[in-house]
Amino acid sequence: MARTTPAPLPGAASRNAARARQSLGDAALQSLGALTFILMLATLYLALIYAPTEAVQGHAQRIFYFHVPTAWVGFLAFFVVFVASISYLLRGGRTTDAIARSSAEIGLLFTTMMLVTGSLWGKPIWGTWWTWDPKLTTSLILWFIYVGYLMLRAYAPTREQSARYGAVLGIVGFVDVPIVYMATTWWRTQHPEAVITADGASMAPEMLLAFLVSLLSFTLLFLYLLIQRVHIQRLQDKADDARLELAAREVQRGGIQ
Amino acid sequence: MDNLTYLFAALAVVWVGLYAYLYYLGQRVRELRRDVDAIEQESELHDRRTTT
Repeated sequence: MARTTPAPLPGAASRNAARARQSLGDAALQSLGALTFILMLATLYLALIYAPTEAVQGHAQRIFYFHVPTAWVGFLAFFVVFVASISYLLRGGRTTDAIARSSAEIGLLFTTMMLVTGSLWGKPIWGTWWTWDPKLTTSLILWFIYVGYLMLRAYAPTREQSARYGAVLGIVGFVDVPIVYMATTWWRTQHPEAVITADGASMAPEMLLAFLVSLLSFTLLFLYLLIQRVHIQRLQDKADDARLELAAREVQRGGIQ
Repeated sequence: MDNLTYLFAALAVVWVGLYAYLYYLGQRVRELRRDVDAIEQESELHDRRTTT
């Protein structure tokens, strides 16, 4: 059989353009990563050296500079899941679904850190690793809700079902977030109340600076991780689609022969 | 354990957790890019076979 000269591939130009866009996006993401890393180092300095030692709790109080920002990122991540889930149910779209799934995974990571650092703070101050206090119990329930969410996403029979069921749970599960936040107001609890309220912050200015820088660095870290994770989810979807398309073409080719 | 030990244990949880997650994400990106490239190459080969 005579071989013909292979024709230029029709998708080659668009693939090159996509690769150029990807490398530009990679550079922006690397810049965000570098900024986040510098701010995380600054947080370490401010929390461990710059901020004064608390008079009653001693060094254990410094766990606060990591415990509260991890809790904040957990709540923020679940809020993103909530908004993306509503958007998915209203308009559909793979990107919103990828954002919801990715944000839930990151939220679960930070909620786990929040629970562990809280336990490590509780032991020297309360004398126990864990107590069935309303704030702690509702936080643990929140952790289980999003473990359930990720299990549901992983085990649903089809991608569409995974996205739809996940969106419903992403909306319903978010109900626990305000309950966790308000637990210290609604019930008598061992857990300290919010240190920053509408009336101001109840801490020394150096402590406040360390806390705010920590909040900023953890928020940027969340953004960086979310972009990375969404990118992975889209690559995964692309690979799944390409595999299916290739298999369909192989079947078609087999049918023609 | 004194209070400083609890503080460093908490720090370790945060930093090791973050590092492990970033490492996991990096591995996933590399694996998926390899997968997508392999599928694209296979698809191009398939196109050439059908045009010859």
